[in-house]
Amino acid sequence: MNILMHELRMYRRSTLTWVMALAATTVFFLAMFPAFHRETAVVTQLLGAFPQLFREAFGVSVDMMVSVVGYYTFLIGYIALVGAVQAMNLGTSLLSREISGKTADFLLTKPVTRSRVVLGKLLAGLVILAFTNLVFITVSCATAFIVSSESFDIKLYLLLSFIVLFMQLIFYAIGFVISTIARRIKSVLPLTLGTVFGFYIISLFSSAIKDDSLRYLTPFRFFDTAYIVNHAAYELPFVLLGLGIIVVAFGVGFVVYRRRDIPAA
Amino acid sequence: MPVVEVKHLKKYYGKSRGIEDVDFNIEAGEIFGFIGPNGAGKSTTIRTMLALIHPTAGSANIFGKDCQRYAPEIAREVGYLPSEVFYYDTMRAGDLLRYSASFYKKDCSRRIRELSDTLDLDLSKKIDDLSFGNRKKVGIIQGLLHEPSLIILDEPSIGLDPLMQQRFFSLLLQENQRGATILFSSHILSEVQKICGRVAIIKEGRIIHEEKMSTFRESSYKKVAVESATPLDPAYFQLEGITSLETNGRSASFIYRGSVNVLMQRLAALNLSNVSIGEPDLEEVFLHYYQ
Repeated sequence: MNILMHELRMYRRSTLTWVMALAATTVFFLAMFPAFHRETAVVTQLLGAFPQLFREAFGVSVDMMVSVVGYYTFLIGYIALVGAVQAMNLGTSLLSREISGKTADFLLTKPVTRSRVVLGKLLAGLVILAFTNLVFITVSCATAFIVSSESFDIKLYLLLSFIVLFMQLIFYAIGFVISTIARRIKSVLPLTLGTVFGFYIISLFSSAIKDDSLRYLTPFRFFDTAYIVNHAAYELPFVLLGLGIIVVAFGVGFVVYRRRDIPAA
Repeated sequence: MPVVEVKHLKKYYGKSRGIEDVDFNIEAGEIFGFIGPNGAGKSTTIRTMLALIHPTAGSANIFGKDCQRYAPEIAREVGYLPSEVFYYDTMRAGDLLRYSASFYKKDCSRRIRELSDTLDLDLSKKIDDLSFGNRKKVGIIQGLLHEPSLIILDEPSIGLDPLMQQRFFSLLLQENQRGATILFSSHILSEVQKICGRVAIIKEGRIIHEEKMSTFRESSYKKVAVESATPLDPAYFQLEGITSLETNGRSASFIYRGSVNVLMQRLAALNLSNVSIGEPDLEEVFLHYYQ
C-alpha cells in the first residue's frame, strides 16, 4: 500500500500532463467536426484526390464526415497511439527507474518481498491508466454531445472510446515485461517510441496491403473500427489475444523480477 | 548462534568473478571489519547477503535464516548503508525517511528527529538540493531509524567531513552498546582500526586473513626504521618475522613480528646512526596482503 501511494505521488505530475494532453487533443479534433460536417461535399472531393492506398493506410473514408461517430472512428486511432506511448512509458519506467536512478538498493533491502514491490507498482500504474481513461472518456463524450447537432449511438461511442484503455493495457504490459528482463534501461522514451511506432507502422502497412493475417502482429489492428460500427461489438479473437498478451506479460514479469540480480550502483 | 554465517559464498557475473569463496562468521554484538582493495568482492558479498543478487554457489545465513529465502523477514532487523546513496530526487529528506519508515511496523518518527538533530540534517530540503555529504546523512538515518540489530555498512564514511565522521562513529558505538552487531566494510584500514573488534581481509574474492584487533594490538608487531653509517645490504634483513622490508642505501624500514631479543641481536651488529622502533598501524601490517 505504501509503495502504491509512493508511486502515485511520484507520477502525479507526469500523469496530469499526459491526461491534459490527451484530453486537449481530443477536444481540439472533435471541435473541428462541425466544420467538416457542414462542408461534407468539399471534404469528400478533397479526400477523393488522395490515392486509395493512402486513404486505406490511414483509415480515411468519405462517409466518416456524416456523423460524429464516423468522425470518431478516424480520430480514435490517433488517440490510441498517443495513449499507447503514455502507457508503455509508464509500464517500462515503473521498475526500470529504480535501477537507472539507483534507488533499487534502497527499496529492495526493505522488509518487503519483490512480488509486493512489483504488485504495488503495477497497481499504481493501473490506477493511473484508469484515471487517464476516466478523464478522457468523460471529456470525449461531453465534447461529442456539444459538437454533434444530431443524436448519436452512445454505446458505439463508448465502445470506440474503450479502445484506448485496451491499447494502453497491452502496451503497459509490454513495457512492464521488457523492464523486468532488461538489465538496465538508460532512457525509457526512445525505447517506448521505437516500440509503439514500430507496431504502428506495421499496422499502416497491413492496412494498405489489406493482409488480414498481419492484424495479429500489431495491437493497433486488434480493434477494427468498421467492424465495431457494424456489429456494435469487438472481435472476440482479438480481445482474447489482447488479454492473453497482458496476462502473459504480467506473469512473466513477476517471475523474472523475483529471480533477477540488481546491478550495483 | 552467529548473527552472520557466510558459507563458501561464490558469485560469478557470467564469466567474470564477483567472489570466489567467501567464508566467515560474525557473532552477536561484534563490530566486524571487512577490508580489502577495490574490486576484491566486498560489495558483492554484501549485496548477496542482502538478496539483491543471487549466489552462484554457497550460502549465507543471517539470524540463522537463509538470506535469500527469508530476505524480507531478515530485512526487518537489518539496516544497510551503501557506499553511494541514491534516493528519489524530487522528494524531501523528511518524506524519504517517512517512506523508509513505512516499511517497518513501528513508529520511527522520534528516532528520525533525534538522528537528524545529531547529524545536523535539514529534513525539509529536497534530496536533489542536498550536498553529497548531506545525502550520506539521509542514508545513515535511513539505515538506523528502525533500530536494527544488524547494521551493514559498505564504505560508509566516504563523503563525510571529519567532524561528521566522528559523530557517525560514536553513533555506531552507541548502537553497538545497545546490542547491534555491525559489519563494516572499507578499504580504509585506519577507520576499521578505530572501530572494529575483528577484521577479515578479502582479496580476489577470497578471505585471506582473519584476526582479532586485540590480538593484533597485543602481538609484538614492531615498526622498525634504521639508519646506518655504511650502506645496508637487504640480505642482512632476511630474518623470520620481517615483512614489508624497504632498503634505500643507508636506511631501511620494515615490520617485525617475533622475539624482540632476536631482532636486537641482529641490529646490534650493525653500525647504526639512528633507530626508531614503534607500533605500526593496521595499514602497515596488512599492506602486503594488498600487493
